[in-house]
Amino acid sequence: MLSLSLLRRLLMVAAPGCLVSFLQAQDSKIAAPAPDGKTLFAQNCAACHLPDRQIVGPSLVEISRLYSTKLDDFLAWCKEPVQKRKGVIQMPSMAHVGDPSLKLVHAHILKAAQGLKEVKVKGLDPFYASTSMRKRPNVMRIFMPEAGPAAIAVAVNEELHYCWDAGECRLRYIWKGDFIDGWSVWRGNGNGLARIQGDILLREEHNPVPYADLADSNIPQPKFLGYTLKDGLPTFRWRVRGFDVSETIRPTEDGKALTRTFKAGKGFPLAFRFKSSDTMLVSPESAQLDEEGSLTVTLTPR
Amino acid sequence: MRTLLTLILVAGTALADSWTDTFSIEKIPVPAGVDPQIGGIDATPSGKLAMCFHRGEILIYNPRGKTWKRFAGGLHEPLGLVAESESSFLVMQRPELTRVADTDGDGTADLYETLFDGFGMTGNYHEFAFGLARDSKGYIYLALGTASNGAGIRPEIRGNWSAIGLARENMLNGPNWGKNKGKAGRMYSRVPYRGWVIKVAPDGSKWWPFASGFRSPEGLGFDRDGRLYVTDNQGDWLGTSKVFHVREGHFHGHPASLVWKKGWTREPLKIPVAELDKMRTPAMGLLPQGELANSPTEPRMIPKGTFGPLAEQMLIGEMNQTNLVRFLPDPVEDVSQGAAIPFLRTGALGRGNHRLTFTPDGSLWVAKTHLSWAGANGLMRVQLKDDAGDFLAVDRVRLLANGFSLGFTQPVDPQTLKSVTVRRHSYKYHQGYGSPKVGDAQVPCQVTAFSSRDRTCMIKIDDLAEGSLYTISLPGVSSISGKPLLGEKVYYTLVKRR
Repeated sequence: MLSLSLLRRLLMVAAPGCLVSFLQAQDSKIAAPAPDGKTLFAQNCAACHLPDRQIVGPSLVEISRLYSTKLDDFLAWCKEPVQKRKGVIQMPSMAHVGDPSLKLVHAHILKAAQGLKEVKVKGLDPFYASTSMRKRPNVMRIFMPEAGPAAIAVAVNEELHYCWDAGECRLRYIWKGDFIDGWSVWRGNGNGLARIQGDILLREEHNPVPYADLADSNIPQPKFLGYTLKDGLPTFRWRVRGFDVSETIRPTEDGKALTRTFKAGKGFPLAFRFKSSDTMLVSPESAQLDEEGSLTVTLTPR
Repeated sequence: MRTLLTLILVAGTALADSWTDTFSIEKIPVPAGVDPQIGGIDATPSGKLAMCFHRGEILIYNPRGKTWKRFAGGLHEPLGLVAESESSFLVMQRPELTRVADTDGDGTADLYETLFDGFGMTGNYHEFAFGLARDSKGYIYLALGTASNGAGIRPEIRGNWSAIGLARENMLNGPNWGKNKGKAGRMYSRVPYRGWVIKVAPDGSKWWPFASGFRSPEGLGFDRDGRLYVTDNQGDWLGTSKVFHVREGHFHGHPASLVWKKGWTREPLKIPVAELDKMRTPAMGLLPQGELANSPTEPRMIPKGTFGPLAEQMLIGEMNQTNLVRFLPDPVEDVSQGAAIPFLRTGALGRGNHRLTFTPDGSLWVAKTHLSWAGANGLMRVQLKDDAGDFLAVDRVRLLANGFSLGFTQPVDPQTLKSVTVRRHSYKYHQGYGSPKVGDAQVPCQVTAFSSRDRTCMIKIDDLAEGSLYTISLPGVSSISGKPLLGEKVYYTLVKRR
């Protein structure tokens, strides 16, 4: 309680420049006010759990349904969570919060979920048909299957698409059909892979530049330099052994096949090797850069 | 007497949220068909706003005509953008630092030049690449998040694999990950420079691993005096979220990144905590979880001539609280420390406050995202209202030998200082996730004086403890003209006594 003298001082009119002085109520032994369930929830849980729909973790509606009468199971889960669902992130242990506080959180969850219904998060990409996604050609850097993490998906036209790996500086595969469904990556924080919407025509298992043929057999690490866009189509550039190399993949005039053009400057020592697949013919399968330091091969679906 | 006190308390309560009396906060609609999660924003020299989005677009917004234009697309989770000109932007995307530029003058990008990709990726979702800050000489700074054991790694990685720790085949996503993850470390760094801040030459020709010890260093920014601020997120080894003053060669406390220190051979999880504690540079600011910040983001300086007396102070974004953070450094010798104060703590701002920038008209632009965590999306514009010039806020905080001195933007009604209280606590430094408050208790204090001449008040405290966060509560404080205090808590991180 405030003392009488303190009150007197408080009541002194403080003109500008006047100094006042008073003691605060003080007790070093006052413990922290015990936080309530709502506060504890806000501090420890709210980032990943919404009342009525799943985000990173399940909704409070769902947690209530699972644990409304199973407090012990709830406490055990919080302290030692395991991964139940595919494609989601495992919850970190909340053991540090302590049983008494976790019980308050449990009560808060039941209260907060009361009367709410689960809102189903749709499994379809709401932007699948947006202009940004349907643009052709299209270049999209995203986690892709069968490629390194620095992958680039390219829609050449409505039908033909490929995946180029900026880590290894090479084509990985070509497919026919629709482009990608990236929802499993975009709906969250990147814990997924885009799905290709078609059939793979050709997988390029090996680098068409046979570095292993170099006399010193010291396979160099290419350095990715980026890409330029012309008419929406990328020309990828990288540097290896002092040579600036580039690759451009274009549709043929009728849009039914692709050409690959490599440029490497004069004096690049190696022939390029390609391999057809059952579903795509590469012609020719071996080629040397011409005097201009350029070569083009044609890839035709079959 | 009782009546008077009651009146003061009631007045204090009624005026508790007057942010929107002082600042206008407006939501700017983002074009349809664009996932409106914004990873980065910067103002161009002409006062337009360039933004990169969750699905890789760069759009340019002209506030004068309220028009949007697509500039580029296809970037991989870009989380930082710097405008070099009207037609050239540096972007930090997951796999690389890229210059995205229009070289043929048609208004859209045709050059995506890789300036720096000399770091590793395992494909783990938490390996975010954050940015960007530029120093006065044009050097670029970026930060690399560690991987989370919420998932393993993918079969194909980029960069060298560190042999320190669990064997690579046991780190793979798949049916065995559940058994193995406990041995991986809560957050791990198995490819180069995860958990580091990297410095890159302006043209990308050179780069340097600059500082280590970060977990998920979401934002970087320079203050008026050239200090590099980097935020990091509560989790393992971080009892609460932090803002660091980052200097070259320093280690900031999360041990996973140490495996990429030159000559390092030890398993970070087996180093005694006391040894790590000695190695680390403590945070300049502890941002208490659940009260001020759960996931702090980008530090950005308020430009000269903006927001009145708060010009040239630092703001920091925050994802999970409906506020930003204002930070006032108060270094003691070579030790950086200071005070964090809630800013724009109002539902009108909302959550998800990810990247910040200013335009010359005095607007603060807040770009939002969530990436499936709590947060929001879209763009907000914040302006100081014309008639709000005499608002009351704490604008100076100085540690004294026996307490604190607080400076205010306006003379304070001394009677309203009666309810000042101070608490003190600290956090554990341990491998565990987060930390309870340790030793949380009210400390005796005395408001010894208020000087209207220099608008300061002194709060006398005996036995100041190093390594503590002091929470100074200023409920109901108002100016002589009756303006309520904006930001009623001052969180002072005391690393070193003065």
